[in-house]
Amino acid sequence: MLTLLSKFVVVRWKSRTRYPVSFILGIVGQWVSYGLEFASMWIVLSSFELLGEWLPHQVMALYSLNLCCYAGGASIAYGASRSLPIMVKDGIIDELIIKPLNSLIYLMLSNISISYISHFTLGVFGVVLSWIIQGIHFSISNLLLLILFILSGSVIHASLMILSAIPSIKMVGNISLTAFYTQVREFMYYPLSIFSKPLQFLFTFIIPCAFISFYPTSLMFEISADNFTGGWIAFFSPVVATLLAVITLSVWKITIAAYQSSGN
Amino acid sequence: MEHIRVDSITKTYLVKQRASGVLQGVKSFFHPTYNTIDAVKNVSFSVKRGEIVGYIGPNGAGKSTTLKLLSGILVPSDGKCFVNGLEPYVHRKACALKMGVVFGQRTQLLWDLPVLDALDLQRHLYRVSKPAYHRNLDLLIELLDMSSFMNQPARQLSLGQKMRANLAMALIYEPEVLFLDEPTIGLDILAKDTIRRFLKTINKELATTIMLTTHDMGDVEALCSRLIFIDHGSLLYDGSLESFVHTYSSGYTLRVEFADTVITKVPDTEVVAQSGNRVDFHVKDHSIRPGSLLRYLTNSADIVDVAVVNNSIEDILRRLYRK
Amino acid sequence: MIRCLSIVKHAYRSNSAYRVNIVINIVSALSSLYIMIAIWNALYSKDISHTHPLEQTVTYTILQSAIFSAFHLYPGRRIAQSVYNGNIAIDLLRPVPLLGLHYAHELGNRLFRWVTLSIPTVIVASISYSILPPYSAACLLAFLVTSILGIALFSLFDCIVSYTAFWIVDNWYVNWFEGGIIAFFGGTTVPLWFYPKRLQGLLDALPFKYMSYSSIDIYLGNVDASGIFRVLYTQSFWILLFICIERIIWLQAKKKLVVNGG
Repeated sequence: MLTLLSKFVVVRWKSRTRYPVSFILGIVGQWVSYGLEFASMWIVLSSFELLGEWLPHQVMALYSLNLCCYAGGASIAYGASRSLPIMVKDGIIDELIIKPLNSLIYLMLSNISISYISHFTLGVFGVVLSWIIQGIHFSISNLLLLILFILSGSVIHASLMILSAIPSIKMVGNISLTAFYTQVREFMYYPLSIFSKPLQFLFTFIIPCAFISFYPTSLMFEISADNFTGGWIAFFSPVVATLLAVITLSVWKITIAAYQSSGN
Repeated sequence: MEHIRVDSITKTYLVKQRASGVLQGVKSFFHPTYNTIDAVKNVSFSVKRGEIVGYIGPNGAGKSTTLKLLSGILVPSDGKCFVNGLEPYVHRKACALKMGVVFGQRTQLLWDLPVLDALDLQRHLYRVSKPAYHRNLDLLIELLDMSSFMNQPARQLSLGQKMRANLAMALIYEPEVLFLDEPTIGLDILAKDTIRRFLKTINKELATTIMLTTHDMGDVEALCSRLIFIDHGSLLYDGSLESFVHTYSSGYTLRVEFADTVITKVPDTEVVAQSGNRVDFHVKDHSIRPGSLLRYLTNSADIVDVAVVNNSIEDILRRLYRK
Repeated sequence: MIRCLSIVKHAYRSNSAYRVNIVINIVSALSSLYIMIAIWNALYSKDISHTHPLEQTVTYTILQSAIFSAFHLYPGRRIAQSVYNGNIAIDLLRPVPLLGLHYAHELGNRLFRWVTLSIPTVIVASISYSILPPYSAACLLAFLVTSILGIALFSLFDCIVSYTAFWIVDNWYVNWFEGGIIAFFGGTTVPLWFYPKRLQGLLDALPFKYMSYSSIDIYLGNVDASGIFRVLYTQSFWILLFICIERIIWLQAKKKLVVNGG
């Protein structure tokens, strides 16, 4: 399976870098776009003191980690989620079912994207910068923890992206539930604690996206959460990620089985 | 040895009835009513290893549905089918490794991936050993004449090239059975010929069982020793090509070209084709002798030309489809 | 002119096909507003004494996102896209000036968004949050006039940027540069009054703050009469300049037009 993954990535890389100027400028363009947008937010954050309990560079860490995880998740899931609405119509679903591999895995692998390298690098840059400002040591354990959080956050993003797109397989007329996913992602760029209590509950227990960046960053920067959890909740991120992945696969299996018995 | 076995397989679709008007629309949202469509009704047949079977019938007869059931894409509403002893919709992955499927226009190639890379991907996907892969690759490139476009991405290929590439994708891992859904559709005569010759060679060299649906009688005549005819979901004929022609082609067809007045209503005959002043009269079971028919016609109208037409499979099918 | 109007109507109608999407869009817009306003509330709660009170900032956010985002016209992007997929050949055959054609299309699309997205969003937002009324009738009038000029300014800028499509066919990344620059220098995410004094000079020199920031500033009563006239002059200056630039580039582009079909 890993060889398959590397093959797909190589292929995608070859096709994207056929126009290297366009590729590089695209990356720089996204840096500029996200960077300047955050820069304007940074100016505001600095002219006040705190956002909730969060200092500006801590908000930057939160924003950056979410960006990293979004990049990781979207790399494997965005292309797949885009093809879901036309899957039945274009016969893609038949092609997936006859492959000797889990159909969702194959769908994601064959639609892998390397364009999110811009988001990822920018996110890493932001996290590193914020660590320097805070004075966090770049120890092995801290780095491993960061990698763990990026991995689990990416899986959560990927699962949410796919889950929000699965209904569009059966829905007529281009109704896009992926807008909900996009909105949820917007919430995750900022500290959960500034939102209302019902929303905090929603994003912790129902759509557990707070485990992507908010809880991990709270832990790393030791920001006391004035909500109902302590910093250790961040260690549940991998658990949440696994759970969501399992749920996504199950929903997918059910959807495919429904197609197989109904034929449309 | 039975390679494919279909046991009274039935596939029923439930199609939601469309509601007209707002009130009906609301009602149908809560209490939808369904029409049942029997795509495949109680179909049974078996195919031996190495056979090439032509699966024919009019549009909507249930051909594609049967192939989808056999390739594990759909689950039967009733009955079972087996490929190499396994039910494909149950043991999906195990069957997939031994099965090649090509659906007419739809492609397994990825858009901007060169053909060679796509085939390499298949190697990993279907776990083909390196020596077997290279052996098959050379054979396929030669038989399908693909050397000119191996490095081109799928989007740059012509229809014929795409078809050949798709066939290579399906055969690179040496499947035991090949399902083809309209493999020559839209191709020019040379391309069709290449593919037919290719399939015949593969079948001979590798004993690949082939089951193909087609509307093209050229495919049937060139490839199939066996014909299965399906219509409205029911199997109507299953046997050799020759006896099909024999069974369904009783009688003769007289092709008449009239001068001006065209007669179509002649007792005991059936008009099977008509274009301009030319009418094909089919007589079943020699109930009227050709001479009598000719005399009747010449007495009723001016005739320019007349000929006895051989019953091609197309003629037979045209009559059958019209029923 | 009548032809343009019919295009507007057509674009409007073709959007109303998906009603559920309308609801989804409104919910999305409202939740984006919620996020921003939650940020403001959290920021101001720790630091109440600020040059601009919370109500002004909230009103700015609501007006900026609900009205101006809806009215950002992107005729340039439509032209860029039609160059990319070769439709420009068809567009040029129509008996309507190319820019006018795409403006009309955009207007139709945006009008639809305005009616089904911006207006409901503003209504809900003003009920939920304390949105300030215009500072005075004169300010309201000035706001409307400068808004229209600001929108024209924005769309002209976008046109010029998008015309790079005539030279760099695959110019999708240009939009990101453009978006980032307008976000930072034009105040589409946060009001520019938060920026440090050293940057204000730069902001005044660039055209971006006059696309939407200045209009809302006028609405809030932060700009006196002479300031309003200065905004009007500056907007007119930039609009005229951009029109000249656009026309020059367009003439060059027509010469260079290579239709990338097939």
